[in-house]
Amino acid sequence: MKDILVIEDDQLILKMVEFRLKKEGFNVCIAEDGNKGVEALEASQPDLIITDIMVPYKSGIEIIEYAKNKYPECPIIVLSALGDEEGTVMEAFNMGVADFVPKPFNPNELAIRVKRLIN
Amino acid sequence: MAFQAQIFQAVGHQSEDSLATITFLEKIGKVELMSFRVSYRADKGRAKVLSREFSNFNDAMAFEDSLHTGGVLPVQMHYYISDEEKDFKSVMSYIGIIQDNDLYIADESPNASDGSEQLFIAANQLGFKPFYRFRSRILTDIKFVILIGILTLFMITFLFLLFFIFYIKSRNARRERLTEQYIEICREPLSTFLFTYSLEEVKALSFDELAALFNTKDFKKSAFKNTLINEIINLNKNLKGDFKDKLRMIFTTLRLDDYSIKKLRSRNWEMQATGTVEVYEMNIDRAAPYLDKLLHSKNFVVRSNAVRAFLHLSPDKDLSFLSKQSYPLSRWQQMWLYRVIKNTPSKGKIDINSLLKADNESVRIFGIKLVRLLGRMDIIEELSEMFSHASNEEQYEILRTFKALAAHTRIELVHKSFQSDDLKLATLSAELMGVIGNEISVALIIEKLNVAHPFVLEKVMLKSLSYLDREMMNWAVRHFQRPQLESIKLHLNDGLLEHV
Repeated sequence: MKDILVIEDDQLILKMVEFRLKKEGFNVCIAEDGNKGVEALEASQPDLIITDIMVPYKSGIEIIEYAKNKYPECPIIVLSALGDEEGTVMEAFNMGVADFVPKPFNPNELAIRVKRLIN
Repeated sequence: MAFQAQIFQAVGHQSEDSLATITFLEKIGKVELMSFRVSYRADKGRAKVLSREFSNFNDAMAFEDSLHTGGVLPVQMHYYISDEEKDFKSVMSYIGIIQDNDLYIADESPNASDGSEQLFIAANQLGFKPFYRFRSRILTDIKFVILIGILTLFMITFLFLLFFIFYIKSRNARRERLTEQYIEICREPLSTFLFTYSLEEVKALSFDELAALFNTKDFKKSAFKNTLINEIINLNKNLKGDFKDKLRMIFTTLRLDDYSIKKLRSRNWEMQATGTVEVYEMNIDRAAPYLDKLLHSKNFVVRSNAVRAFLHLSPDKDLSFLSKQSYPLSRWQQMWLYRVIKNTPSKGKIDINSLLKADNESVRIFGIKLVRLLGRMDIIEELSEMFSHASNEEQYEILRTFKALAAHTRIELVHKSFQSDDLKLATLSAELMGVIGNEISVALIIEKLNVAHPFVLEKVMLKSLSYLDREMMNWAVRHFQRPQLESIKLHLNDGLLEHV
């Protein structure tokens, strides 16, 4: 079973994404802020990371940087409301993220992207 | 002889004084600070005995007489003043002071014919007792009473406020805990609806079936409904696709739209504002008529949200209600409204003319901005017509609109405003001439450069001139020979700085 780490401060969205991905058969680990996300990354390597940019304590950009250093092969999907800001999107892609899903998003679409990246 | 006479006289006086003293004592009986004892020989004269203390002289005399009668001799009266035995001379002198200062109360008045005087005497002989049993010296001081009263008032207010604060805190804490519980209750069913049921299946569910899935007896409580609404709106903001339709279906099936519309009719402004946000977020079209009376609310938050929601929900995007608004339209409101209008498919049908005719200047300015933002070339003519009697701010916006829409046909109006004494108007006109100008524009700029102007205007003029005719720009700088023009020209010719 593949492991997915989801880092998102909005509890409801976190639960929705967790619910949807679990339905697809993934093992989902959730983190509500940047620090917990980093702790989860230190504990084990996930097969995929989904992270928001605006999370408490550590920004998504810092998490991406940390994850890329620690697990360069692990794909990362950014899930953010900052999708309209071209600078943010470009910065994320320059850092090596695999995909950028702007909010509002379709959880089914997210699930398809996750499956594509993991497989 | 004379001396003896003096002595006899003195002794006589002394006798008279002693008699007077005794008489006085007999008359008065009790004298302040005085007490009496009688000494006599008892046990056949072998022991001297001192009687008990008598406060009344007459009682002491009576005792002495009884001893005399009983044949007990010798008997002697002893006088005490403040519990100290004194000789008779001291007693006489003390009595003299008492008499002179009237420091005595007669047992009975010699002329007591009416009863009232006797009453006074009797009353005077009674020991003082205050009329009010619990009266204390402190409470007779009015200032002290006032001070204590004020301090007591402060203490009571303090205790009341303290109690009130604790009550409110505990109530808020209780509400927060309740809200968290409700959020936990809502999450699972909402996830199930969204990911397990299809849209048709959600449509087919009835109110009771949906409500039953939440599995809570608190379903009908306001707190639960508000929590559920917030969760649904939060999801609605973050999700798209058929998830939004499902959420809307859940919202209406659970009759939460009725609850939101009910809030619009509340008298509490916070409820009104909350209701407008809810109907806006969930696209409750049938709430549009209820928003009508909130459009002119005195409360800014209610008004702003109502205007945004009304515009979003009304099918024809009629902006005429804005033209009737008397309150100024803030930039924040304008941004909100523009965002709603921008996402409307029928942008071309939005009636902006009514805004341009409004009495409210901020509404007119917003109308001019909309012309620019929506690219409504059909309204350029109208803007030209209103230019001459528009306010300065409106004129600036009109020129900016002409620039954005490249309104070449309006160049004459631009030339006229370029001649204006208003620096900002002249500057905007000069800028516009760089976009839509012609040979006449070049001539006007050259003519104006004849005289020195503020840096801002000269910079814009030279820049526009460089767009229209670069050669003329260079000639003008050489001809007028002003350092400012020279530095502007160098700035404009610099590949890096020209756009600064």
